[in-house]
Amino acid sequence: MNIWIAAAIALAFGFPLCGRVIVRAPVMDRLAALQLASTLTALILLLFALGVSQSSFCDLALATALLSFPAGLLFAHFYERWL
Amino acid sequence: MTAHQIIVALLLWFGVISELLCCLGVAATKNVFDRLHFTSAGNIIGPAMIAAAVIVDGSSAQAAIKAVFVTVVLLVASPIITHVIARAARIRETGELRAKAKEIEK
Repeated sequence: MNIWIAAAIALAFGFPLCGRVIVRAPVMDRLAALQLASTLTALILLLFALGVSQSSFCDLALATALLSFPAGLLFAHFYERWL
Repeated sequence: MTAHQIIVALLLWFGVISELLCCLGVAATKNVFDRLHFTSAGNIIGPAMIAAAVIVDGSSAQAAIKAVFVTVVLLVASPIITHVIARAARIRETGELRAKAKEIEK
């Protein structure tokens, strides 16, 4: 195990903390926690790509970061008035 | 362990610890507006430190470029998302975005 994989595993400890808010808190609080969890996912994928020395896997992290942005916007837009 | 490796490790673990502290903050606070402070900090500080660690490491130029791109995407998206969520939470809570006279007096 190298330093990148160790850091990715350490970052994964943030998921239960975000998950606790996503399961229990009111709906807009869940969205805030979901955004942080998607950032964590992108960083973990990036660190795993570096850990296994496959820089092409960094595209997964990039795709996650790019897709979480419109997803958050859409959730917020619909939760604002309609849901 | 060389000085170069120590700098990479410091940047990387600073990013990881700041990210975990932001998760702890999100879990510990009780209000969506307080939680958004930690969300936006987690979208900026951690990714920037981790990208800096990847650049300083210098083992792969392709990975460094992609790490910087991920960080730039998060840096641009974070303030927009934070604003949109706060706006939606305010409208859900009070029915309108504008501050009421009672709130301004306080």
